[in-house]
Amino acid sequence: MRIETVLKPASLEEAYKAIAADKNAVPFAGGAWIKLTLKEISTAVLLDGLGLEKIKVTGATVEIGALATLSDVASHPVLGSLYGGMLADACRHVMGINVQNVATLGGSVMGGYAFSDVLTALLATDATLRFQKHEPMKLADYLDRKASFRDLLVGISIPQRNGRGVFKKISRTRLDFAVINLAVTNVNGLYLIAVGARPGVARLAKIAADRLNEIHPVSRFDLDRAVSDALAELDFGSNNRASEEYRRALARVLLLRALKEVTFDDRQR
Amino acid sequence: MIVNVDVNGRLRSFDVLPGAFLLDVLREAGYTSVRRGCDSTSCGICTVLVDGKPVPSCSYLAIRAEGKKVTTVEGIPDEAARLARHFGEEGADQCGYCNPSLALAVYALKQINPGASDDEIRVWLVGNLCRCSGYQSQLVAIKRYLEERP
Repeated sequence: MRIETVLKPASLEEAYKAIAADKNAVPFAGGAWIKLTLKEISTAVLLDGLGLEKIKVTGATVEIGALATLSDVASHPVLGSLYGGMLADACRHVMGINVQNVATLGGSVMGGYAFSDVLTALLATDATLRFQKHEPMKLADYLDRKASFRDLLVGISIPQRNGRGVFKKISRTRLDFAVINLAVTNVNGLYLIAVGARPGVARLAKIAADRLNEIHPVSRFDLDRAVSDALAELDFGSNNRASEEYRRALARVLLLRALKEVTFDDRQR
Repeated sequence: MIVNVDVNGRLRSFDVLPGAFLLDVLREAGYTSVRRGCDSTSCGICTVLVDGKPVPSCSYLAIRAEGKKVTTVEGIPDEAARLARHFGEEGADQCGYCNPSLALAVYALKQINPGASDDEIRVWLVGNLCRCSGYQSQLVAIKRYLEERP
């Protein structure tokens, strides 16, 4: 990575203009992963000191600033319990504490990294992205978008709903990227199922969740069918970490476990 | 670009290139306990404390340290010596290359969780690799260090 110049903007508007004016200008969040991309950066736009580090709890949502670190999320009292603490749990699974202290939620989203644990968990919370210029957009829609756009992510809104959630990850070592990761939430019978590191970027299993959402009460048989639906609608592949077959086998087991955990009480599982 | 940083309690001004990382700036300034490992944010060898928190200096832009407190192991000599004594007694190191980063990470843990359990210590240090020790003797030494009264 080579950086020609650094801009420390005095406002979000100044930061946005710098990014919009130059396609080689890059907003700099934590910087944990960007170094590995070997990019030529004309201007690194530092976002420190613009108020994007805060996490605010409102009545209906938790508003996470784009520069909140994974440590900030992992140690936040409300996020530690929202959806079973699923997002905080995912943040704690990202490498070690030193990386969690610099990697940011915004960087995880805008990087769009296929290995990301955070993106998978965020998808299952039905998160909405807030930009400096564009209208707010669901994370799922952002990841599915066809056209790219240049904007500054300023925050992420997570609905505060009373529901269960669970994040699961398999990696070859505690420090390695995921072979597969997934997150599931159940809010009053409405499921969201996200699977990442397949090895593609995280995606929702919409067909599986939609079918499950029509069933009340849900049985073990329904959960088995939801797993099959999810495996059929999502694409899996091979890379140097694992084969497609291995990923599918892991996803089948982990997803069923996750669905049981958010559906049944301990003794019913 | 000039960056003003409190390093180990002393205000320093560094003239840095825009893309300079904290690791390179500190080493060039003589803080050679800060070591280069993987240089890709993975091994933890380059760990320093920024405002008391462990961060990988190999990927931390030096300019982001403006106005912050940076601690290297030279800044915690007494604590490092205490930990080193336990490491010696437990046979917890060989080459010593990772010791400064490990000492800083453990020191940071002691500030926030001096009664950390074995599992909490393991999780806290998952980002600090050591290729000599096998970790078990380090764990014992770190437990003894944490149990010490300051």
